[in-house]
Amino acid sequence: MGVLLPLATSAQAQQVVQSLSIADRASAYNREMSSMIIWALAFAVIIFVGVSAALFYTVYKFREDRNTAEPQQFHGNNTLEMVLVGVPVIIVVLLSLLTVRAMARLNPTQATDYPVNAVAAQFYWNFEYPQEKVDAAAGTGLVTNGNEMLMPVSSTDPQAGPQRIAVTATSRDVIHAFWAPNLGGQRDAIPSVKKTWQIATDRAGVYQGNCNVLCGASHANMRFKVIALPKTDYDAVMASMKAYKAPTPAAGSPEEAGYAIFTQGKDGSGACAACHRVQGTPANGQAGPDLSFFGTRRTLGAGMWEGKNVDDNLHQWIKDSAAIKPGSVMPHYDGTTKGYPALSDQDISNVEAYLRSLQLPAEGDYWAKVSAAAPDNVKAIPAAQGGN
Amino acid sequence: MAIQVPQQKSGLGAVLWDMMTTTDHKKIGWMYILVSIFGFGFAGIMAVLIRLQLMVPNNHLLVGNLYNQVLTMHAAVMIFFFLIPIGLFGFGNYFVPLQLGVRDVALPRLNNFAVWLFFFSMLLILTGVFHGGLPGVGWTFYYPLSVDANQTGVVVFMVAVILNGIASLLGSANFAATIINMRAPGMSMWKMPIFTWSIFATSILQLLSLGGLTAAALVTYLDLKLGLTMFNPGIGGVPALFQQFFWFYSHPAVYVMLLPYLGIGAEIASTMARKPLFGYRVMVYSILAIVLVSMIVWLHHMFALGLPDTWQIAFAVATLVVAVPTGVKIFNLLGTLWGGRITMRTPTYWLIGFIFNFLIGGITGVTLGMIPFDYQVTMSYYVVAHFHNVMMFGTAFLAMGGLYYWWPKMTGRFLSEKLGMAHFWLFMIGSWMTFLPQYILGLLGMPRRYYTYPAGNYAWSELNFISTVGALILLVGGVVWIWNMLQSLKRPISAGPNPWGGFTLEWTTESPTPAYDFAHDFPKTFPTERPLYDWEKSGMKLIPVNVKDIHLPQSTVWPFATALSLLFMGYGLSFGWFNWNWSPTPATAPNHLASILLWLSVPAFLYSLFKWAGTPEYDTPVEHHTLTKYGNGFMGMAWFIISEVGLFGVLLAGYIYLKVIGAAAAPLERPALALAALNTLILVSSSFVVHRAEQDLHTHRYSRGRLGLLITLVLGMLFMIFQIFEFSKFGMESNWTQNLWQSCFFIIVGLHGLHIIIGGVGVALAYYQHMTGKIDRTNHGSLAPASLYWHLVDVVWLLIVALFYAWG
Repeated sequence: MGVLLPLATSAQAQQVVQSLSIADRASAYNREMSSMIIWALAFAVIIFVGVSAALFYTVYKFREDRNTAEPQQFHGNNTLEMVLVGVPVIIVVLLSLLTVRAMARLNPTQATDYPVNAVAAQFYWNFEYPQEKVDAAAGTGLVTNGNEMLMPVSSTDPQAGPQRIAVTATSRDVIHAFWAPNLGGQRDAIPSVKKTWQIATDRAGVYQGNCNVLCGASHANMRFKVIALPKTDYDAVMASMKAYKAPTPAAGSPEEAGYAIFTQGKDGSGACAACHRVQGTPANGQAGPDLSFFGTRRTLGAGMWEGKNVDDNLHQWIKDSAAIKPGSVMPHYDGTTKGYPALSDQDISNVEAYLRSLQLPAEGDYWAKVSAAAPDNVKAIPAAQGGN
Repeated sequence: MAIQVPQQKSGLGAVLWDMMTTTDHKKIGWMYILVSIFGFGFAGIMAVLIRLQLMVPNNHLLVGNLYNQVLTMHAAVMIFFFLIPIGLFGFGNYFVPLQLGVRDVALPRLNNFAVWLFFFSMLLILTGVFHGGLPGVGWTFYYPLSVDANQTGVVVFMVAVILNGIASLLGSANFAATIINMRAPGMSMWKMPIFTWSIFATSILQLLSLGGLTAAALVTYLDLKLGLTMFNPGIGGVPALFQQFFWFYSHPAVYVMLLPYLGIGAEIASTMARKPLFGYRVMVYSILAIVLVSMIVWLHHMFALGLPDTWQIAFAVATLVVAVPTGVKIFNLLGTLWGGRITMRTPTYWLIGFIFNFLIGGITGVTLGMIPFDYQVTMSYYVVAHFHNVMMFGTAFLAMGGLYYWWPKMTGRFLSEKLGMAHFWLFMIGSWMTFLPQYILGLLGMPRRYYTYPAGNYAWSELNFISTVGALILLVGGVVWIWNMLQSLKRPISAGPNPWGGFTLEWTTESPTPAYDFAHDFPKTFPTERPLYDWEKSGMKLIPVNVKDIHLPQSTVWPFATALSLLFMGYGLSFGWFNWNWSPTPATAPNHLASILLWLSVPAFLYSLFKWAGTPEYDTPVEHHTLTKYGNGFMGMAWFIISEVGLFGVLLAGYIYLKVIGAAAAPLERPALALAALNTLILVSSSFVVHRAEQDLHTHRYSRGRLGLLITLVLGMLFMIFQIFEFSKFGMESNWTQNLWQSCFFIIVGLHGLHIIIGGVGVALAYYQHMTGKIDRTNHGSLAPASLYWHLVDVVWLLIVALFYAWG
């Protein structure tokens, strides 16, 4: 059996501890849910203890070596039966009422909720911000980021910010689901359907999210980060994002060579821009994750790699992503995908350099902001992109 | 297989031939049990592989689609080839006739057909290995993942699910007919043993709900093969509709995997405590209540879809309500044990283990009904833990209990108590270690169906490691169990007729049970559901009969041959098609082979079926005694028809929904009402004709009856000709992959066309029996069921005319 178990690669050991839990009470959703489920838990304990005690007492008392008398042949007890039906009925009615009350408090999402679109596809997320239109000077469309979602922390004062976030989930291919347990319940992302659901947190920090409906080979590799920022920080980041225009590479730099491949491909085929959008450039592809702020992001492959591991895998990723992420639909750039060019290592390094240059200015660096705002409970990913 | 006929040692070929031809409900029960044990072993090994992959973070044993295939096979085989069949069809076939005091099921040859079709459906899924891979879409095969280009084995999985469903329905209809028509004289329904009641209720539940799964699989199959769809959002279809179809069956299926085992548990409790059941009637009512309520809770699998709140709440309340009758069952098991003199043998331990474990599983199930909590943990490991809690260390414990309890009856030998206790405790501890940590994993945010997880999520690594160790303990337990069975078969037959002191009729016959079941008849008074206790008290005796006077149905190979031809047809429908052109390039060669098999399977199927119909059930004329005035064939068909109504009901409900929301608008050019009206006339007349032909048989006007059947067939053919014309025209006028209404039309009206063909074959069988003199004064052949089926096809047509031709 030993050979069957190649152990974890040590390269992964860098990852920081994430504390996922549905019992995270910083979320209004989870508080409401807890106040409902605590009742179920109380009944559960009573029933479990009561019934299992009755079971073990019965077995202890009436096993044949203790009870040698010929048993009485009774067929039932109507009063007892009524009680045993009646008590569960009462409990069920109570739990139903609690469910209805919680549903009424949690639904529906309100107009004052801050909207975010979560667009799922095999195997990544794009997060769009319907209220955040890109400045006309910078480009078109909505502020969009792949695999890293931003949200403001809740505020009890409506003037100071929204109390909760209305996530509208949808999908471009199969069914996925948006689930960030620390922030609230999940919602399925269904093709051609838009379903809105609420999440919230009172605490700035970085929260783990996952796809939660089997969606193919890399279902397990369809993760995302939710970065919750204080409202003022959030506004600053959004302003920076709206104004963001991807930096123009200096003439003759590797970035410029990378940009050329990104937008035109090599030998006239395989442009990255056909599938990827970069705000403020002609690249406006919609089939893949948005790369506008790639240089600011600290994850790669929909959360498969974080921090330093991003650097270790980016080159291979561009070359042949399916080799390191099962089922990745991005074409291979090693010549094995028909109609796509084989990029040399130099080409790939140039594209890497271009991607790394796609950085927000300091006031938009949400990782730096969240580290500053919540140094203790953030577990933020260290920046590790060499040379930037 | 020597266990079947321990007296006669015979070669493998002879044993195989016996299995292929037998009509003996006990051998068929054994076949279900053996396939189930194999299924449990296979799926169990899949489970261990899954756990080994998840033992440590970022493991590379099973990655991506390979993991998904193992996961899918684990679930599909555990459900369709272990948990559903071993209780319902394994123990059901063996013990329902014995508990009823009869010598076979209502339709013994159909039983043989069903068990082989069941077995072949498993083989069929596995053929995916030779065609790219096994299915990896999860046993739930959600749309549109099922039609995703990177998936393998889905088509054959769909065909296998449909064939498995047919086998399951035939088996269920057979039980229902047996229970209604064939009980020992004097045994009323209210005196039936609780296990038989459970099988009856489970059969009804299967018949009512299985149409949902068939509809889901059928539409997925047609989507993959022909682009016919009801779900494709690209043309206005609704992906969530797939889940409605699927869960309409697959939630009730949970109770199909529970009720037979609750029956077994109650039998064990009563026997081992030497007491009557506590609240027998209440238990029966609870079973029936579970059947009823389980039909209206399916939506709770889909809360995270975000359907309207009122619907969610209604289904949530129904979900919570199920806890009441389920709780009653548990309390009554306790009540049965209370005050007894409990024999502490392995079956008792499995029962106690079940009650304790099921208590946890039931309670966590209630929490899942509470929607805001469900939004958090649905599809997470909390759910994984919950349903394994209910199934693996819930009902599977009672499957084991049933096996230990009835093993002496089935083999004449005991299983070792020592090994049995080792098996029990390994399963108990293994289950807790495997699944209890998974509850916590779910609360800590671990989604299900993940092939990997990163290191560093709080407690994930530790809990997953414990879970894997638990799975390895379960593996050891499984090995002990198999060893125990093999050891037992080496011991001499020593169990005697009634080793545990049971109170129901199966304990009156020898162990293992001889082919004729009982060498005696029973007294005709059944004061309670425990005849042996009552008769002993009142001094009533069994009435010996001469074994030579007992007539049993004769063996025949044709049901097997019919099932085998369906295996080839299924293979052809999965990997081939009705192609004419032949291009022997190596890359497409397997598909050509499949296409050839498909062509050949059709005549093989018809030939076997006609041979089957032409072979009399008994080699000598036998008077049939049924409790109702209806024959077994008619009774079986009447029950089976419930499932057809269910199938069309589900599909039509889906169509009506799509139409009402405006997604399925009829195209301007569509099949004319006039032709449909003509077809209605044809079909309704044929219904009258076939009815008249049946009457003629009763009044012994054979030649006129024969003519009537011929006219029915001609009318049916005329109908088909018009419909083929209409389909061809409509298919050429517009593209069904682009129009949802047209797609629905072809799926549902086409399915009805298939039913016309099936019904026509049924009438043709009766006609053939007429022609060859098989229908006479005592033997009415299969005319009654064929005629009934033909009426059904007719009624469905009227609905279709209303919904597709008349409705604008």
